[in-house]
Amino acid sequence: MSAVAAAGGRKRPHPDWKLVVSLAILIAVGVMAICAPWLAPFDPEAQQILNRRVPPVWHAWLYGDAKASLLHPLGTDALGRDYASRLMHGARVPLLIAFSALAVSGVIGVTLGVVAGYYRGWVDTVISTIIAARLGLPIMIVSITAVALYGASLLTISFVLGLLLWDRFAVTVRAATIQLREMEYVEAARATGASDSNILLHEILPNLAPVIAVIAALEVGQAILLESVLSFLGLGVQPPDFSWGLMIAEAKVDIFFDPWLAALPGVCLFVIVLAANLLSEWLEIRSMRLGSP
Amino acid sequence: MAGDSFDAAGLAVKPVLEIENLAIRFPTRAGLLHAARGVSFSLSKGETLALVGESGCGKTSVGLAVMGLLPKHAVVSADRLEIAGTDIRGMSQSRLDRIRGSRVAMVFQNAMSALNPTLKVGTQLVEVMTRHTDCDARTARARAISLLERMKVDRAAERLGHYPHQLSGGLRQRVMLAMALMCRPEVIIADEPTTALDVTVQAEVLALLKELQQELGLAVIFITHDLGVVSYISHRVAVMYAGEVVETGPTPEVIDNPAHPYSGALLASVPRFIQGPAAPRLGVIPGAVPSVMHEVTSCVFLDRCTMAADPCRRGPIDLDDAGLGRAVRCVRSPLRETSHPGTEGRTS
Amino acid sequence: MTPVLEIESGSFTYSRLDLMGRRIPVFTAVRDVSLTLKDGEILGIVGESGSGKSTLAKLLLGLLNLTEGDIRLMGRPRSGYGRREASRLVQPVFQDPYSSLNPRHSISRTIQRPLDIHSIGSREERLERVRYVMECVGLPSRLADSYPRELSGGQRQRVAIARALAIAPKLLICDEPTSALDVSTQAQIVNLIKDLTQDLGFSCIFITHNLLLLQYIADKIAVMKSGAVLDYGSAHYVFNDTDNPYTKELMSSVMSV
Repeated sequence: MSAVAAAGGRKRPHPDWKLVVSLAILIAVGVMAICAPWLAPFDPEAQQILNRRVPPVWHAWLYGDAKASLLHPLGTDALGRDYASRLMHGARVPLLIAFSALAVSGVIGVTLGVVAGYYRGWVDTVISTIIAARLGLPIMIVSITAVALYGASLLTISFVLGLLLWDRFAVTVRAATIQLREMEYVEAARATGASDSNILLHEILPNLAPVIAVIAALEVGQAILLESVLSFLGLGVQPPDFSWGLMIAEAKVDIFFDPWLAALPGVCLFVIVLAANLLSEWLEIRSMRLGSP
Repeated sequence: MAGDSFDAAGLAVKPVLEIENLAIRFPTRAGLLHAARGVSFSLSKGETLALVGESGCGKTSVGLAVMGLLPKHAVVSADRLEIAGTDIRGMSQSRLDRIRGSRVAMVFQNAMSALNPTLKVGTQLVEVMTRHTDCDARTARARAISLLERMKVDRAAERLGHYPHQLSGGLRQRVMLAMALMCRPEVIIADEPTTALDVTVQAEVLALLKELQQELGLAVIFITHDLGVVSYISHRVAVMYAGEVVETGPTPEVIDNPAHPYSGALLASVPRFIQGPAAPRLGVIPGAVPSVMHEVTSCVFLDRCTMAADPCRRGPIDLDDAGLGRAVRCVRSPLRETSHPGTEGRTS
Repeated sequence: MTPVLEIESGSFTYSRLDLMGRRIPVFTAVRDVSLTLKDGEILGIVGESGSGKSTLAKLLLGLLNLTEGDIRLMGRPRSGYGRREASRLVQPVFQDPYSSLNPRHSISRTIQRPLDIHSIGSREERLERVRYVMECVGLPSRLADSYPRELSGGQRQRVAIARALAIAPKLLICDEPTSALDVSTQAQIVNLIKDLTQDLGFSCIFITHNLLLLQYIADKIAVMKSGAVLDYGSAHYVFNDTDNPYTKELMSSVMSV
């Protein structure tokens, strides 16, 4: 390898900040969601009529609003429920649904992608047609229909999202598999008499891991966003369950007077999707540097 | 390094390319990579100098440095880096753009990636000329056709309308050669131009290059790893190892009588036509190329050399003149013992 | 003495299916090739690009099937062997050291793969065999747990050779095994293959575009062009006595020091 090729890029001052930041956020949100019952200062359902619409604590610092205090650092909503606690609990549904959807879509997408990419021919044509059909489906209308038919439960939504989000997996895994099957180590395994399933399991799949990781990180963000949209439209979980999307929906009416009620869940969504995308980017750059397909 | 060359009238001619103490370093995550150290040589009109070595020896980096094509983060330093008298050290890209193509041109190994696949061949050839000279497109086109014909490309005018992928490998290399010659440059840098070609095609292209060089008086740096090609095409050769030039001299002499142990070992490992019935065996160099991530504190070939001794360990070895146009970076070289020290010639 | 390999009038034509489901021939990559290889012999196949030598390698490895003619391994037609059975006799070494090893497998696992695929021996026996072949090809045992990206091109080719030899095949098919290596590394690998054919007792087909290289390794040489074998004989014959015009053209084009 020539020196020019080996030289790569210049030294970076802070290595891998993307990884650090994204993991920090994801772990923090994860811990917060799981431990919400113990971490949250208040019961998210406890209504305090006397303390309704308390602004977040920075209103005291910036505008001198006496109602704001550190008792409710993120304020309270229209029913006097502590917002910080609601935000913490509100992370549970999005994360749960996102990971369930990820599992379903991952299994479907990777399987279809690998089979299409490895066998090519009519199998590939059929699967590519299925992918095209899926891409042609409007996610929202399908979700609405599914919810109308089966009700809006955690299970339904996870399943629906899983069935709708597998296309990115399938497309990238298929492309990667097509490349991988031409590798000489695959030919060597074939020449040694390995069966197709042996090759798929031992040669192809391990090398798909980087690709799958990149897409998985992206899809987590996607799934969380979609769940929030569904909840916002009233098609997600129903009260008394809640998620950030639902909180935004409820805060719609107050947006001119108490904007933080909508903004805070929005910021949470933004931050977590950003973290997912950053992680995905870091994984991609790392896999490129290590020379994977 | 080889001293002055002389023209037909016996008068000394200034070399078209002078490099003295060129060093190329790349900062990487793992440290500083020394792609080239203390590289010195000069090149005159009508002369082909082969830069030969194995992968990682720095020959491509040196070629790119002369063209100013190294990546931005490369650190290049030299006591002298002159093309036809123009000092190109620290020159801006826009000034280098004017020199590239017109005074120094490069021919790459893989024509398919060096040529723009979306532009017709004719467009690319014409553009080289119209960009660097006052020529109009029509004149440039005529010149392109006449150059291609000189390259023994039949139906040259028709080929101008083809895209690179429509031509065979050999034809593409000829197109690249023509592109390099459009503006009559003084120096041509050919980086493994025939490595990817079939043997028969390679022979044709190299014969062509030799002819053109004599006809046009080109000065050529020919970068390759193939010693057979070196002995065919070059007048002088510089052998590179681990970023350093370890030996220079007239090609036939270096090949018949290598002065540096690496050159000798390399020659012993090259397949060649064997005469006689004895079952031949390729020579092998034990060990591996050292890392170029450190400063040099001894002879770079030390760990693999059969002649290594104490003087080799004491410090970096200089490239010393060994007389008769030869230089070697080795304190134990048999050639040095018979040369006359203290006469003209630079050490670096 | 049964030859290890015989190919008789072998041809391979790429074809495609038309709309009616019939096969339309597109391109004949190998035409009417006949070769014989005896035990312990090294056959060199030389040709330029498009000569069909790589397709021939795939045919011999069973990655493609002849459209005409026969291949016989140890006297039996290849079709009489199961795919796995035949692969115990014939193993490949490919050209590109950077894609011939699975980047996610350690060296030891890579070399052991053929043994795993064929379920040969116990776990200890497999490890012992891996250790043995690593020693045969000159790989230090400390590299067993390394990954391909930590190895040089020459070391990777040694791994590829070790992997091929793990199940003790009778025939090694080397398709341009040194073309991507430096000259000095090439010398090491060529010498290694030559020595191993004698030490371990197997035959080898060495495919290359470098005619000169074959002087150092081949007992017999076949010269290919456009899918056909134009010249075929002992190495001595091909280099000294042949009057085949193409062979002579190749020889005169080659640049030797």
